[in-house]
Amino acid sequence: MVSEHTRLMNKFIGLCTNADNWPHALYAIGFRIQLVEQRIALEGSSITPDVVSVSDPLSHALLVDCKGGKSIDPSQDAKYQEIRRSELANWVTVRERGRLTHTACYVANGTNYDKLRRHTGLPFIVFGEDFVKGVGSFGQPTLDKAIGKSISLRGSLEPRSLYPFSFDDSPSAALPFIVKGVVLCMTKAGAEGPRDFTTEDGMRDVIRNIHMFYERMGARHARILVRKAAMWFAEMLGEDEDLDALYKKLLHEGFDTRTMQAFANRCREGVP
Amino acid sequence: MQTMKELMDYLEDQIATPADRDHEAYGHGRPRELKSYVIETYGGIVPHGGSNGMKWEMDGTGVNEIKILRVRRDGVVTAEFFADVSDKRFIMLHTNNESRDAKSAIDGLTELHPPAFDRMWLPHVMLDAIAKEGGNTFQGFGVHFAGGLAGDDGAHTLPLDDLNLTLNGSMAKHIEGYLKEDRHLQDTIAYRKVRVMRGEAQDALDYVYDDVYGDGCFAIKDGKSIQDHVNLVRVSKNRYAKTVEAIEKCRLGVYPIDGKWIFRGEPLNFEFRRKLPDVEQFIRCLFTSSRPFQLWGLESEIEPGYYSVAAVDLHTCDSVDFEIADNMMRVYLNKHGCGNTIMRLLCNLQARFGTTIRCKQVDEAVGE
Repeated sequence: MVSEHTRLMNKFIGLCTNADNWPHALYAIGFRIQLVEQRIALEGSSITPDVVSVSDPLSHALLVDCKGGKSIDPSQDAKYQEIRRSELANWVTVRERGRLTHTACYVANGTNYDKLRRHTGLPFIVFGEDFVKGVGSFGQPTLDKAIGKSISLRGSLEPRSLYPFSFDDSPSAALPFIVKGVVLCMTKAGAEGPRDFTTEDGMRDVIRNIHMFYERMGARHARILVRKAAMWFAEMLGEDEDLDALYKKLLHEGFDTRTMQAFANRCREGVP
Repeated sequence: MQTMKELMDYLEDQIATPADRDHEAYGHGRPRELKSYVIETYGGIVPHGGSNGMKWEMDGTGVNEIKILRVRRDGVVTAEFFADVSDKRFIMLHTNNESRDAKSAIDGLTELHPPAFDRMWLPHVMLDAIAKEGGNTFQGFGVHFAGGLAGDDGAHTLPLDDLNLTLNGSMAKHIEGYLKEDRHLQDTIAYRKVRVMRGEAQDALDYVYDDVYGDGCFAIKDGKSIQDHVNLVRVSKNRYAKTVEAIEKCRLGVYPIDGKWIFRGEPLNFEFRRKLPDVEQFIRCLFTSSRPFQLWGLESEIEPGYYSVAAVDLHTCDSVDFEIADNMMRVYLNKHGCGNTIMRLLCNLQARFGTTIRCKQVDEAVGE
């Protein structure tokens, strides 16, 4: 199962991306993702928004926290309320820095929103079953207009590949991407010889190749992600002798499409 | 070969004359046709390479940008090409070797692992645009539907329509119009080749008729104007290069811009105008690790009938992810992904599904 947090991340990044079959209301007014899980230093503390999306034409930044659960940490909420332009300006790119304004907001699903809203005064982007809607004031007229009314999600297909997984996801959600990364690294390996992808060293390269935000993640996030991915992959191999044998064959005998396809077919059965 | 003119004269001599072609009618065998290919190089041009008994080498000529490319199998030269390497990424190859030998050499060059070359893949929209390019006249088309998609184990198949059709001559467009009045055929006719005339039709020395194939082959069918033939190949190559460049602007990744790291890119949006009959079968037939798609992938169901596929393009060894439903497919090329992957995918899908499958960004880039 994909965690609610990962789904919300994909849904929000999708709003800022020019993808068919998914609304791109924020993309249309210039919002582009600039930071993902980047720790931003504040006076005396720091904060790590899930996503920072910036519209250059509006000179406006959206600091987004995706809430997969039902609670809000009051200290985190207070930091979002107090963040200053000067602290943000060092991290984002806009042509007219002097005009930069920003809004911090939460992204939640329709079920959790009712509980979450009681704990904060910040605006929300709410993804319901068949709509998305901004609730509260975003302090930027064009932005308020773009998402103030319900946008239908009927017939829309949520993106899944923009933010593949985090360490909070279940192994079944992450493993297709991790195994893909292992295959990718094996096909690229060439003369470098076999590497063990069940170790953190080997897995680091895998994650670098498959998670486009890995290089920009905070060091702690990145470390945990690699450790968990290596563990999940090792566990998957440990639970299936045939799969483990195919993996070792690929590792030592190199590129062979038949073995690769056999590996894929076995993985379909092996992914928990 | 000391000058470009010498090369052009030499190539012109290799074109069969109309008299040679008359012999064809009397059963004196098929004349050799001058053929050109455009292939993509990976990581620039290197003087030699190969694997598994298949090797190539490039020797210089007196002209800086023209090389001789020799392809060997088990040490024996099987084909020779004049290679115009003025464009470092997309090189043009000319030969009058027999079709079978030339094709086999191109197959070999583009099937190496690790990859060194790929074909120029021309989907319907691109062949159509080439036929309409200034100076070109549409003179016919060919359609070849493979009739299905098969999985790796024989257990998964997706039966599809099959059709072989070639129409040549100035009336071909009219007949195509009639065919497209049929609802079933409307979106299914996807060109596998077009016949293009370039030049002035009075004298054989002043024009050329070429068959332009979806796999990047240009074969002269009539006329002797080498200049028009080479220009046709060059103009087509330039248009293709621009399209690949437009696709590569969609690559997703985090890029350094103005000293900051910015996320950029968007998925390539494929539209299925006629819904896929069975999405799961489609996936099992597409991701088989083998030709022509050369995609390895693991799918997960996002919701009933809608899947994400974490995939690898085995030809280029790049990460490429998919989201697939019965009416659409999003393809995510990563930061280092190759635009040719998308052209290969589109071209080979259209050979099976016709123009019911289109890619928005390719249509836009070709239309510009």
